[in-house]
Amino acid sequence: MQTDPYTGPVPVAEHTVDAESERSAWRTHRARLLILGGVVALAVAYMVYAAFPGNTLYFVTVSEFLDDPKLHDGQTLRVAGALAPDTFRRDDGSTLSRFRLGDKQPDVPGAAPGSPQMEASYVGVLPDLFFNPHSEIILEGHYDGHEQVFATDNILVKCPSKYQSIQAENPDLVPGAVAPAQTY
Amino acid sequence: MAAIAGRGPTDSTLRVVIRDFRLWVLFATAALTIVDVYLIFVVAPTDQVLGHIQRIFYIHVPISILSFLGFLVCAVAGVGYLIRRGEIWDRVAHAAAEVGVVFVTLALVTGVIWARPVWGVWWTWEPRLTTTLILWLIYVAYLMIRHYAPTPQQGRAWSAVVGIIGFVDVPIVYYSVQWWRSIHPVQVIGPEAADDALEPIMARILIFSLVAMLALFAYLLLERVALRGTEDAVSVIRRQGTYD
Amino acid sequence: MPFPLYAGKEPTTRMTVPPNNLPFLFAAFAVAWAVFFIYAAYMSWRRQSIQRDLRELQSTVELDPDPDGDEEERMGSV
Repeated sequence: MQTDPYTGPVPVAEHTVDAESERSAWRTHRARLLILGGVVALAVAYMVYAAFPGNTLYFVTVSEFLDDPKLHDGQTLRVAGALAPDTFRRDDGSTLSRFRLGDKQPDVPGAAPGSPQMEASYVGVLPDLFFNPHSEIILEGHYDGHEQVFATDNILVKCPSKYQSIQAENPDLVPGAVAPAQTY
Repeated sequence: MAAIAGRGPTDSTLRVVIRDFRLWVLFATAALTIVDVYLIFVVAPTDQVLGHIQRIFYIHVPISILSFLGFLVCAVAGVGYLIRRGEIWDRVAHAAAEVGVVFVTLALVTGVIWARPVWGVWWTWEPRLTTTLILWLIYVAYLMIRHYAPTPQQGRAWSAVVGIIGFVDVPIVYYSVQWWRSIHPVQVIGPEAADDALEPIMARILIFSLVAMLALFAYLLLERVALRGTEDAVSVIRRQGTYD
Repeated sequence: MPFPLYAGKEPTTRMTVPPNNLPFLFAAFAVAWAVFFIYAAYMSWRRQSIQRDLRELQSTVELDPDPDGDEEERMGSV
């Protein structure tokens, strides 16, 4: 008999089924447990593989990419950087964008001055924060050696880890107000 | 049968105190949440880069932290169960794991909803997200093992082991943004947070939200422990009924 | 790697005002609160339903339904 503070004495479980059916129930349970364990192990293995494919890094920087010819063989990878000023081009009515990415320094808006730049192309709708100088841009795609451009399949935007109110940097700007337009 | 019917007055008093306490925690949760809504949507400033969507932060972060707390309670109570073998340890561990799974599920869901407009994707296989999904899987497995084990006793012992070993993933989730390159922002709270990661007003509202969410967590945990108590009482009667 | 600047058109004007994304904001809060509410309501409903079952079970095993006159307490309610 065990005792616990909520229900008081707890009777030990009695055997209410015969031994044979108990054994068969245990076989079913064991099969389910093995399947469960297998599914969990496979899922974890897949996720670790998906998160750390090949080079165990989620992304490489623009400099790392440019310096490593092994990455130029057309393999799919992620390259992170910041949009270089005055390099974004897109024709009216077109969804093809061309732009350059430079290295991003932590907590400094925009591409680091003088950092090497990578030419990239992308077809599709750009994320909201693509043009924000605080954003770090992560391109998923591969290097197209023929066109000499990084062909982007997906654009992800990494935003700063520091949060700051709109009023702190720009006292005139209150929530809901329209900001003065700025050209890049 | 006398084991069930015979209860001392002390036990009865304890029950009433616990039931009343749970109600008080529920009232506190409701009051704190109402104030929290006002703080999040009216008082908190709008983020200069992300805009209003950044307000998700005030629930996403507390929910994530409390999922860690749930799994900590589960692991500690699991150790208690393996040493003492008392029902109450298992009851608390089980309740904490289930509440923890609810919280980590919502951490993932609120994160996914936040990621779509900001990162541009609902999901990406990066370290913080992947380790969190593994955390979810570990404690879902914890709950399933209890269900599939041949006897309740084995289910309790096996799940306690899973709950203890599974907790190893919690610090991995927290430090993942330091250890590996990640798209997820680095910590804004805890030992690795930068001092200026948040404006003072944002930090204060985050702490308030954490307290409100802690009250909700405590309420859900107490409610789940109480439900387990009722479930156990019925299975005791059922076993004895069959035996008779 | 030589990268000639692509000869496309200069881009249009860009705004630095943060995006609003209010539907996503409300969706996140709505989902979180709905899940918490449903979970709490489910636990409370299930506890009461089990307590009802418990009374029936106790009458089938021919227990005195309420020997000490404190039914609620004996039903496993905490």
